[in-house]
Amino acid sequence: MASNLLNRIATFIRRRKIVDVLPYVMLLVLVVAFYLVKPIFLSNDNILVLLAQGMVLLLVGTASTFPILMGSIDLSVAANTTLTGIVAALFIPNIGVYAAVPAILVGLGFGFINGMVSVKFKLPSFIITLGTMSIMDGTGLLLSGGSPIWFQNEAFTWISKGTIFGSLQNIVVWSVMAYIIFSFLGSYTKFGRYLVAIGGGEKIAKLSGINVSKYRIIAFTFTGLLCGIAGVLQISRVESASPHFGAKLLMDAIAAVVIGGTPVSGGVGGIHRTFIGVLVITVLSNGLDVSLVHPYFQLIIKGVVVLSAVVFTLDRSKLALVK
Amino acid sequence: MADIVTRRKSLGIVIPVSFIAVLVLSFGSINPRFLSIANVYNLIRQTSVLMIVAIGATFVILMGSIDLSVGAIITISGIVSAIFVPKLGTGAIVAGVAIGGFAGAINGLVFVYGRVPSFLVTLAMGPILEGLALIICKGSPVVIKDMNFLKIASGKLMGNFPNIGIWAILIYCFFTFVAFRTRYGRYVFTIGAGEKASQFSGVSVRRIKIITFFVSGFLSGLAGVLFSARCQSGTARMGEPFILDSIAATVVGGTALTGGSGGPHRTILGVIIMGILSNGMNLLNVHPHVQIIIKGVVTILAVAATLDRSRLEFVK
Repeated sequence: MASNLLNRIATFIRRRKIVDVLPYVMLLVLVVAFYLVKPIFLSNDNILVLLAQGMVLLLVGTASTFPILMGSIDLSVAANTTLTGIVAALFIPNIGVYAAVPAILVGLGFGFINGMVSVKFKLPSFIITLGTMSIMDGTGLLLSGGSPIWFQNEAFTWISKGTIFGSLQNIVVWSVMAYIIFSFLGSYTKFGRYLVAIGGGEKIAKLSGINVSKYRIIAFTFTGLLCGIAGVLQISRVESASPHFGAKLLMDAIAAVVIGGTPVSGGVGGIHRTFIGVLVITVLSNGLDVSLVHPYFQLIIKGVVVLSAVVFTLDRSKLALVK
Repeated sequence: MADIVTRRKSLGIVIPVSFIAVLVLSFGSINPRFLSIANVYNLIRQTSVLMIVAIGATFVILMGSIDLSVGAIITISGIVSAIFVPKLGTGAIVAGVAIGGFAGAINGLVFVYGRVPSFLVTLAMGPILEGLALIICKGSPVVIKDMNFLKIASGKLMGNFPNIGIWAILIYCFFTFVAFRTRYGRYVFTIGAGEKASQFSGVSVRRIKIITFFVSGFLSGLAGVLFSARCQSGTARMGEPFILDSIAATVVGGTALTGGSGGPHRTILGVIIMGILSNGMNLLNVHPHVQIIIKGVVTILAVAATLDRSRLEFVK
C-alpha cells in the first residue's frame, strides 16, 4: 500500500540518526549543485546576501516552531511580519528608530489574540490563523494604501544594516541572538519542555497538571513577538515596507521547520533545529535566484518542497483520523 | 453556549434567515438603491461564482476536511479556459473544468494515500497551481473576446435573469439532490459524523474522500470558467478571495467545520449573507481592504458559533 510505504519511509526518516543528518545532506547537495551551475553562488558577496536574506526567515521559522511543536499551526506568521513592517514604516517619520516598539507590540498583540481565541473559543489553530491572516492582510493593505511605503531614516536603517561586530550586519546579530534565546527557552526551560509534552499528547500533558491553555497562549504570543521583530528587521534592511512582502514567507517557514526536524504532528524536534532548515530553504531560494530560475517555477518548487517535507516526516500514528 | 444554540435544528435555519432579514432591512434603509431590481440582479451576478465554489467546499467540510486550494484552482482554470477560448470557443469550458477536476483528484489522492491532513495538502497545492497558472499566462491577464463564450455568464436566456445565476441554481439543485438522495451523498455525511464507524459499516471511506475532493476541484474549475467569462479575462490571483469566502459561506450557512451536520442546501443562506455583506458594503463605499478585515472576523465568529466541540477530543 502506498500509504503504508510512506508511513514506513516517514518512520525511518524520523529516526534520530536520519533526522539529524538529512538536512545537512540536503544543504550540501544544494550548495554543490548551485555552485556547479553558477560558481558565483559561493562568492563572498553572495554569501553575505544569502545570510541577510535568511535572517528574516530564521525569525519567522523560529516563530512557527512553537505552535508546530504543540501540534498546532500558525498560518498568520507571514501576514503578521508584513503588517508589523508596515506599522513600523508608518511610525518612522514621527518617532524614528522607536517605531520598532509599536510594531513589535502589534505583532505580539496579534499573537496573543491567536492564542486567546484558540483557548477561549476552542477552535482549530489553522482556521483561527487563516481568519487573522485575512484580518492582518486587510489591515496592512489599509494602512499602506496598497502600495509600498518608502522611508529614509539612518537610525532606523542602522537596526539591520549597521555593523556592531566587524563586517557582520546587525540583522544577523539580532536574529541569531533571538534564535539562541528562544532555542534556550525551548530546550532548557519548563515552557519548552511543556510545549513538547503538549505536542506529544495533549491529554496526558493536561492530566499531568500542565496548564495547557496558559502555555498555548504564551506560545502563540512568542510567535507574534518574533514576527514583529522580523517585520522590523525586514523593512530596516530594504528601507521600505510592502503589503505584499510576505507572500512566499509562510511556505518557506513551514518548510524550514519541517526540514529542520519538527514534523507537523508535533511533540518531537525543537526550536534549535529550525536553524538548519532555514539554511536549506535560504540556500534553495537564493540558489534558484542566482541560477535565474523564473519566480513562477520557484513557486511550484516551493509548494512541492513543503508537501514532500510534510509527507515524508509526518507521524501518522499520532493522527487517529486524518481529516 | 453559542454552539448549542446554533446547532438546534429549528434555530439553525432561523438564525441565518433572520440575519439576512436584518442585513436587507438595514442596507435597504440606508441606501434604497440596495433593494432595486437592478441591484438584485447585480447581487446574483456577484454571488453565483461563490455559490458554485461553496457547494464544493460544503461537501469537503461535511467530511470534516477542508480545501484551501479552491482559490488557486479557480485561477488556473480561469486562465486555462481563457487561453483555449480562441481555439475552442465555448468548448473552452471543458478545458477549464477538466483542469479543476484533475487538480481536485490530485488533492484527494495525496490526502488519502499520503495520509496528510487536508489543510496541509491543499495549502501546498496553492502555490503549485498558482505557479503553473502564472507560467501558462506568462504573468499577464488573458483577455477573452469571444462573445459566445462571454454569454455563458453574462447572457440572458430567461428574461433579465443573468445566465451565471442559472448555472448556480442548477448546480445548487443537483448537488443538494446528490447530498440527500444518493448513496455517495449520505456517505459523505456519515464520514463527517464518524469516520471509524462508517469504515466499519463498510463505507469505502477512501473512495468517497477522493471523489469529494474531485467534486470540489471540479466545481472550483467551473467557477473559474464562469468567473473568467464574467470578468472577460483570466488573471493571476483572481481566485484568492474565494478561499476564505467559501469557508465562511459554508459555515455561516450552518455546516459546522467538525463535519457531519448541515448540508449544501443550507450553504445558499451563507452565500446570500456573504453576498449581501459585500454588496451592501460596496454600496456604502466601505473600503475593499476593510471588507477583507470584516470577512476574516465573520469567518472566525461563524466557525466559533457552530463548531461541535464535543467531537474534538482536543483542539490543535
